[in-house]
Amino acid sequence: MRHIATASSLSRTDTLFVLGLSLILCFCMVLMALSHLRWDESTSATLVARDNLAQSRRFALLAHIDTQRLLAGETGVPRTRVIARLDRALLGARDLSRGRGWIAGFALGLPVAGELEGATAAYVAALADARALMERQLDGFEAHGEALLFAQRDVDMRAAAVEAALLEHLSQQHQVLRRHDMITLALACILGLGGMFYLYVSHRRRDAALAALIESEARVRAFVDSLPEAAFMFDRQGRYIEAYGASDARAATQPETLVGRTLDERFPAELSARFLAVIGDALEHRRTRSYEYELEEEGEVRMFDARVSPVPGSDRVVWVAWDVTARRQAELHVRTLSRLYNFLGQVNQTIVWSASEDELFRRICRVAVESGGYRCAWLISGDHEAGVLELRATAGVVPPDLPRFVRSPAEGALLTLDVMRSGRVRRLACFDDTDPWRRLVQATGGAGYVGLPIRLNDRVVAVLGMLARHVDPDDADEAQLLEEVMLDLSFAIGRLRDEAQRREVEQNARLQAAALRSTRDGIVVSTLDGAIVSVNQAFCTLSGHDGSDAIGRPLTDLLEMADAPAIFAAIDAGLRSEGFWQGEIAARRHDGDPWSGWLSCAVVRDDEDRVTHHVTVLTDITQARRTEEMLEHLAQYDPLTDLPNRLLMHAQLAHAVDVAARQQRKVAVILMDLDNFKTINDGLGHAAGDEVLSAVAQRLRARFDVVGTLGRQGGDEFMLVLGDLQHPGDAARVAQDMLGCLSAPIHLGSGQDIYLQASIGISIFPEDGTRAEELIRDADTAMYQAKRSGRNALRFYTDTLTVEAGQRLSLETRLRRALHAGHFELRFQPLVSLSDEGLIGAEVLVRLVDGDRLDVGPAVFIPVMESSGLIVELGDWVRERACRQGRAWLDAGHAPGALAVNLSVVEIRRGGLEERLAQTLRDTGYPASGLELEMTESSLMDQGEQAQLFLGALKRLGLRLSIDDFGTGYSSLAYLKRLPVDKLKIDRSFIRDIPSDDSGMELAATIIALGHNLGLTVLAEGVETRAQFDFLKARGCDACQGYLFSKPLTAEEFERRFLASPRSARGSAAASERGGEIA
Amino acid sequence: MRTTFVLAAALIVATALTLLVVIGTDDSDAPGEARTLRALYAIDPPFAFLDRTGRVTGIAPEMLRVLTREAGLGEVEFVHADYGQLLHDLAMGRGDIVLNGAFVASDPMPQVRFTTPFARVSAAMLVAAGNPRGLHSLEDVAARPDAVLALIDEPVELARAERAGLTGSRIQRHGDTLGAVVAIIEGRADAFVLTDVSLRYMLANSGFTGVEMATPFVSSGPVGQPDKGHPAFVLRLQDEALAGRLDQAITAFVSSDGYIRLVMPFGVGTANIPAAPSGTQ
Repeated sequence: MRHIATASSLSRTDTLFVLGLSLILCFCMVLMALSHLRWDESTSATLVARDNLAQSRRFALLAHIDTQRLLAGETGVPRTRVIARLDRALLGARDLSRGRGWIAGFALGLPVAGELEGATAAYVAALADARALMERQLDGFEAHGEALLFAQRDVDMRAAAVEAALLEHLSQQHQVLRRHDMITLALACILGLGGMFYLYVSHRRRDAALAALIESEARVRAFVDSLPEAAFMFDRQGRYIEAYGASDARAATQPETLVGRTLDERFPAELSARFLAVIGDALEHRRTRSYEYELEEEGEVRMFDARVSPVPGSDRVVWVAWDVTARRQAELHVRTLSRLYNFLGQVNQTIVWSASEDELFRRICRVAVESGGYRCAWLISGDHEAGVLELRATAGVVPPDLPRFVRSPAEGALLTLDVMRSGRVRRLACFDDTDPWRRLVQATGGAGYVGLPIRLNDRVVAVLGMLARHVDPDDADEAQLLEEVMLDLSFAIGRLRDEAQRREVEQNARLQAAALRSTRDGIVVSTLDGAIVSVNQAFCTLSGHDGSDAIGRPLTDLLEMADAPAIFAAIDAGLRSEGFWQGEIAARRHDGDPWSGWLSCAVVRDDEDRVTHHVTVLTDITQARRTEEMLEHLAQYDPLTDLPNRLLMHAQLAHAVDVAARQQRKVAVILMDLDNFKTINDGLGHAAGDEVLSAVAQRLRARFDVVGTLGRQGGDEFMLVLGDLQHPGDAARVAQDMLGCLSAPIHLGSGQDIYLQASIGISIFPEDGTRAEELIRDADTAMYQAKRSGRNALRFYTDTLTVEAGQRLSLETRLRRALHAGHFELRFQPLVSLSDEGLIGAEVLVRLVDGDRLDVGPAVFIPVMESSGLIVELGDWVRERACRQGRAWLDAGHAPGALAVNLSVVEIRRGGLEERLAQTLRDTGYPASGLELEMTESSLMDQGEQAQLFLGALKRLGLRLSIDDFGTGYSSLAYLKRLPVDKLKIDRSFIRDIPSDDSGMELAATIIALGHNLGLTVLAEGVETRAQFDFLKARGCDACQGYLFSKPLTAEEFERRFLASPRSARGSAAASERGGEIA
Repeated sequence: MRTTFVLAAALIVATALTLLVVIGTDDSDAPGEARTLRALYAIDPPFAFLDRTGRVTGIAPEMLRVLTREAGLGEVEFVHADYGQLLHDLAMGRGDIVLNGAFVASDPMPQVRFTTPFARVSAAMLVAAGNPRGLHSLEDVAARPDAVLALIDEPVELARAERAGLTGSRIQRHGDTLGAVVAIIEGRADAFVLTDVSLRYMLANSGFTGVEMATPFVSSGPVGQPDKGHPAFVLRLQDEALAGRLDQAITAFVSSDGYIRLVMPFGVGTANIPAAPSGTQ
């Protein structure tokens, strides 16, 4: 092959050689062409030149003859003809000399040079001379005859010379041509030699390649011949071209005898046609085809695999065939076994996946058809002794009458019963023609029968019947596999029946467990030592504990009861004595919700009557208890208004009286009756009356439920019990409020507005009675007095109280009016430093300046305003005016120091003070540091822990804080210490007796020291004498105020005395002392 | 391998084709210098002859001079040849065009190409003054047993005479017109048949006396038609392009006034103006 490869592709040398030869050939051709052109040129030149010369000489000769005839006197010769002929001769000569001329397609392109040029020039000159002579003849000049002849002779001579020169010239051209030819010849020779050499080399190579090819073919043939299989080469018509292979191979019997024959001759027509089709297909698609076929040889069917490959570049194919009969048979056996193994595997899977007998039977039949390859499968269960058979499942090709047939005692049942009785696998390859099974088997497309008995406890309970195309009763492998299937199915039946039993037991247990789980009663099972074993969901809901959380813990942990130890002790005792206990319990869930339950506890005994567990049942009776409570509420509360009824109010009043008696306080009973309610009831109906009562109750409750205990006494009577009363006047104010409450009309649902009035009677404990019924009766009496006095009024049971209350209410009204009319004014009392007696500020005080009745001082109107809440409005007004005044002084260039303003406890309680203060400071532009707030100890204590936060908020505004009237209230020093105050003001009661009272002086000194120890500034109030001043100064007190320096002054006076012309407070004090200005 | 051989073969074929083109190119028509038109003529007054200065003139040369100028055909070189050699020299390539001696229709010659006729001539007969023998046709000559016909030694003329029944000694051949006229004058011949144009030019220019043109003269055509000829130029068949240009030029020229002015001096009358150019073949 290597040689062939070498021969089939040219080497580089070969390429160069071939190209070289072709170049030489081209060169040769060029030379030949050149040679031809030269020759052609030369021939043309020769021909044309010689023709020119010949024509010239001919016409010269004719002219010569004409001339001689003329000279001889012939008249018939025209002289012009002589000239014309000479012209023609001259033309030829000139063509020759110019190297031009044409004759019969040949042209003269010869350059004339050298000798030829000279000769032709001479010839032309001679002819011209002759023509000139002749012209003269025509002109009548008779030339001498001799001259003409001489001229003609000269022409002849010149022509000969031209001819000689021409021939010489042509000879030279011939020489050149010869040289060209020699070169061409040499090249052709080289070319020939080269070609010969190349042919020789090619031949050598081809021979070598051929030898290699022959050798290669021999090798291939040896290989092919040694193959155990047969191989052929066919042409398209199926003719054996070649045959290879061992001669004893069945498919290629005596291969050499086949060559030349056709497939038709060897095989039946149908077979050979198929072979030809395969050959045709391979040739058409030029691809190798695989083909399987069977041949019957010596009475035996043999199977062959063949590969048919087209031979490239030809109309032939190579056909290689293997005898695969043995392999196919082995494969068939393997397939059968693998099918059965697959069947067995699927049976096992089915057994695993099947949950019931019916499912198992259905699946087994299906597996037998799908995996076992059986045509049809069915399963019959029953008792062969009783002869009862039941078809449980079928699969595959099931003939319609199969269910009837297999159970019919006269037909199929016999075989099934036989299998059941024998208890062994039955395999039948076929049935006799007379056998009733034969028709059935044929209907399924099968031939043989397999029956597998299925046992349960050594008794056959079912038979798996299957029909197959091919059953080999002698195949031991198959028998063994079927035996295994049988055993597996028997095992499965046993297992399924066991499982069914077990499931039933479990089902029962589950039902009971579900019953326990789903009951609404909590059930707890615990051990004898109390550890909980199980609880149900209801218990978890009841107790609020998680199920998992409860297990292992004692029940006492999970039931949160107030009296748990006692109850559990009782349970324990009950269980010990009677084995049973039950009773009501009140417990709390884990999240704190209360619940009530009925608890039953009993012991659980085992089979030997031993107590093993305790079971506790808890029934939730919370709802029942709530219903009872609701009934109780209905008994004590008025259903219309939901206010306490007469009974409850009586009890409440009795209770309040008891408490007040112990604490020595007062209790007020306020009884209110709507005036003319009967008119509403009669005029608008009871429904409207009820609506009015509800609305009144709602208004009263909204307003007075926090003040006291409100109830409906019956009809249109309402009662309010005020405990912890300080002053009977307070009760009157509340009663007034109640009347005010009714001032707005009541809107009924029908759209009507009702205007109500009421009469109120008030009785006070202990003045008017010490028992509840007395007080109610007195209040009732007072109420009727009020009605009598003209309705819409209130009356105390005691007359003096009624008067007092009236005065107090009148004062309150006047104060409200005075506040709105601007009858309050500010006064400023200077605060003086003890060290230098300089002004450090002023306390701002308020005075009522009522034009008519200037008879009320702060000691009177402040408490009234506090109780009515007017104090808040007054406080805001005072602070605003003080700040504006301070700002005015500052703007006027004065230094008023700190302006101290009193703060009422009511203002503190009401809240919102910080915002209002900040607003005031912003509005007036007065610096916060210039404002000092004074509060009493008791007002701060009243706030408790809130005081600290409240003062902190004021402090953050930048205000200064002081404690007023220090020493008169209760206060804890530790508490005081935490408050962010700047100053203590010693109450005037401690100063008044200085220097006469020693104990008072000591107290004052102690307070001063205490204040200093707390880091506070200490100011003494009510300093009126120099002795007091000196004492305080000696004790280190920081500042003081009092009449010693000045009484409270109007702003103008204060400005005039202390700001406009600053002077020391001392001077002022001295003046005051002298003037004895005591307010 | 194949590529190499294909390459080599392509090289050889390309070379061969190139050389074939080089060799095959006919360069006879393309010499180095521009080729002048060579016009062959035989002396045959008034169609073509040399004047006293040796210049070639006559109806045909003058026409050709004008035509080549009109058609832009370049210089003309007049080449003398014997009457009988004109067509041979044309065929051999010694000349490119034959000016005179050829008549359309009367001379069917397949190897050559006639141009459009440049004149129309009729046969005429010259007799002794007074036509003493009353000859008016070749038949008349034939009818007189002693009458001798002089003619130009031409096969056409001979054939015509023989067609009329004249043979042997009754036909007197002459190399040219002059000889024949002299024979009539001298009484050696009785009649001389030539074209009307030739005889008219001859009578006008030669100064001969004692001769006249037989009037009337009945020509004997092949089918009894008047013996009329159409002189035309002759070219080689392959020179069709040249012939076409000449045809156009002739057609244009003969219908112009210049034509009659040019040829009138040579004995051409209005009767000799050629008809429509349909008779070119």
